[in-house]
Amino acid sequence: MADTARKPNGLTRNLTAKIASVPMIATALVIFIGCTAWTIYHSFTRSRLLPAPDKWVGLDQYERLWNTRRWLVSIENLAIYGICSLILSLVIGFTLAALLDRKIRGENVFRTIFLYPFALSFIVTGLAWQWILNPDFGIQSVVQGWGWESFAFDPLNNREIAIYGILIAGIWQGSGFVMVLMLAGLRGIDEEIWKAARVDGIPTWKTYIFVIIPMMRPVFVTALVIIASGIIKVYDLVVAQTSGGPGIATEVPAKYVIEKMFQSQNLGQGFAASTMMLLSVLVVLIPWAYLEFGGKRRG
Amino acid sequence: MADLTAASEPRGPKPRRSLSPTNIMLYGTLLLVSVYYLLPLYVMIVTSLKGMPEIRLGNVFSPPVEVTFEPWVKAWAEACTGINCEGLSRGFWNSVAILIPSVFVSISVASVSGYALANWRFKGSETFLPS
Amino acid sequence: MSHSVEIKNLDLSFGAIDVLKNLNLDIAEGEFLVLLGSSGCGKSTLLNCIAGLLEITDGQIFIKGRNVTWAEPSERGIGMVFQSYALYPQMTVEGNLSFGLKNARMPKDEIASRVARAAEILQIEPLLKRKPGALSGGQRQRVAIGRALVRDVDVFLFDEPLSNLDAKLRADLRVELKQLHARLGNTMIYVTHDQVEAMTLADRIAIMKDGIIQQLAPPSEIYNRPVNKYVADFIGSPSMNFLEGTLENGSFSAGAVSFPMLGYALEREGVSGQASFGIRPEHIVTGEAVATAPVQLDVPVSVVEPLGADTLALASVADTPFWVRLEGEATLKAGDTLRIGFDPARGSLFDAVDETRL
Ligand SMILES: Nc1ncnc2c1ncn2[C@@H]1O[C@H](COP(=O)(O)OP(=O)(O)OP(=O)(O)O)[C@@H](O)[C@H]1O
Ligand SMILES: [Mg+2]
Repeated sequence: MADTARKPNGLTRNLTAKIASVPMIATALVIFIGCTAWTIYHSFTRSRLLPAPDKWVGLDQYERLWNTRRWLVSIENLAIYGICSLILSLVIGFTLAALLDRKIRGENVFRTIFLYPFALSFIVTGLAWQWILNPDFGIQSVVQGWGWESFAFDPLNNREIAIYGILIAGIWQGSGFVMVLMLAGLRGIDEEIWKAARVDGIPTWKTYIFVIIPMMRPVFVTALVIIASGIIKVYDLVVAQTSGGPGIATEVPAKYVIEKMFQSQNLGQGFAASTMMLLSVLVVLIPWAYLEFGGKRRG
Repeated sequence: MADLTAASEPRGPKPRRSLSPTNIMLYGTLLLVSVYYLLPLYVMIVTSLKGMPEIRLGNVFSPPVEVTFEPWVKAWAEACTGINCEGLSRGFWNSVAILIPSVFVSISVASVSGYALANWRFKGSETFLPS
Repeated sequence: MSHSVEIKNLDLSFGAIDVLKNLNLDIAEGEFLVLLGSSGCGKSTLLNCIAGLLEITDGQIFIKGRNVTWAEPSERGIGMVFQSYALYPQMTVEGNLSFGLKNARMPKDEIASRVARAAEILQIEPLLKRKPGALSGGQRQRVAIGRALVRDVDVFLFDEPLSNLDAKLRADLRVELKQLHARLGNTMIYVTHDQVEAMTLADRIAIMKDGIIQQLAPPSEIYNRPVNKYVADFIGSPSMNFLEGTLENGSFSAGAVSFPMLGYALEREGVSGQASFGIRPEHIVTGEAVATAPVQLDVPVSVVEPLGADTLALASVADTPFWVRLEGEATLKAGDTLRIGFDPARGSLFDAVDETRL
């Protein structure tokens, strides 16, 4: 608190810090904001193979986008995948971390087992799970080989549940990292809190729910960001596992964008789709940021 | 009197069964989950040790009948990616060539930015957090 | 005397490290016992064993005559206050106080009355709706004490509850703790390494070293009749002056200094041999009082430290550093010669080999 004595004025305060952050801010501004603006502008044009800034068509591209069944399926899939993977990653990640935190034997071994998938690319993950879920080579054929002839487990070829087949692989790949984050968070909790809860006679599970999880809020926020970035990356997984099939059952928005831009040579449509994606991210992000940062100042 | 009863009374550590229900649940869950996490690794390794005919015949979980390291060698030296057939070795060196500068650049940018964030946040938060 | 807490032959080891060794301790009903010792001597470990937070390696623990060796912490009738407060940060003060009670399915009005009583005793009523993050250190510690208070337990355990507070607040809370003890009459076991806390609060002090209780006695006895050199050296600030020499025919001599141990009650009559004589800086007199002192010496002063209320002077006796406490602001400079006197009966003699009191 010694610093309060000399009140530095606004600009020179943390001058080195400000200078040091210039590259970061400049990069962010130029690349992020600049490209975003460029993309949004061109989504209002009839750009095909090349950007055509002069062929202004207003909201046409958006109208077409929302009348495309493939886009609607993509959105639905992303929503299902996103919500499920968010909940499952958090639940699995936290549960595993809590189990490992119970002073068990072989913690390192288990931790490595849960974490190694994170080091693998989505492509490898997708292929490996494609084999395992394949009805002729994978789980289904093995179980049938054991004598259970009517056993059917073929998610990747069933339109209704194909996206869950992708979810299995996505969770497999990403939940280990969430687990490690949670474990680090659990280790950061003061040992005396646990002691106090034991003296108070609070059962372990109740301590987790009412004391530990509320204390781990920052860890959950970090985990959320990581999971969210995984949800956006699901594109790779889909390409490797199903290429969007069967039919269009596992299409995702990112795939739609890429294909419109680079295969159908319809830049305007691709830009419109990506603008919608950005918009939906903002719709989630802004209220959250408002609650997270705006609330603090008032409280 | 106290000493007479003391012999049969609780003394020392509380006796614990190592196979308590809690422990069975704990390790059971962990082992079960481990299977889910290890399955793809197992599949990848097993498959990579099989010859092509065997892959087409059996399921992905069956251990290789005839262990062959040919796919490994092939992947490293001969596999075709695009037009050239130099296998992963070329890709590997490309990765290294990209990795080293990019790690260097990103670490320097990140550390400079990290320094900025850390300092900024600390000084700013001083007014909010009584220390 | 009825026992509140009884510890019999307690052993505790972490793997190969033995932290507590065959420890026995009887604590009377309503007693304020302070565990005092240097860092790492096993005070917290002992407290955690009593609380049931650590599984003991051997021995038994009784609370109120009940064998609780295998009982859960919450079933032992203890409340505990931690150094880091260990409040539940996401609950209000009221939530912190009532969480354990709610969990035990206590009726609502009973909870409310207990919380109200604790809040009244600790004067934290205005804070009940706040979260721990919005409290000062002293207020947090009160809440932590309150959490033990509402449980209505027989024994309170404190693990360095005041050591995170500044000196002024520490002194205030110390007085309040003493009043709290007088009001509640519970047994309290209090870990600290602050001597002042120990001397002022304790009915009895247990001085620990390496997991062994060196001396268990009321503060004045610990101060005046330490059982060994470790205890003598540990208690008092600045610590006791020691002269290494020999004891012969009831006379102690160290180098050029020699004096008869008149009036000193030896533990065993007629001992002699290598010994060290210890005397506290505050038991050394200067000025006019020297004339009546049994031992009188002229000593050179090398350092003078004025502390306001008194002055410390570092002198040299028989080539050993020797601290002297002088009343008020003495007009003394380094290099002066000071005439000092003391009564050997107020000092302590220790065996030079095993360091026990002679
Ligand atoms: N979990 C543990 N594993 C191994 N050794 C431990 C563990 N906890 C404590 N110890 C050791 O036991 C000894 C006693 O520790 P304890 O915490 O009781 O000391 P203390 O007297 O409370 O010290 P302080 O005044 O610093 O709090 C120390 O030497 C410490 O290193
Ligand atoms: Mg301690």
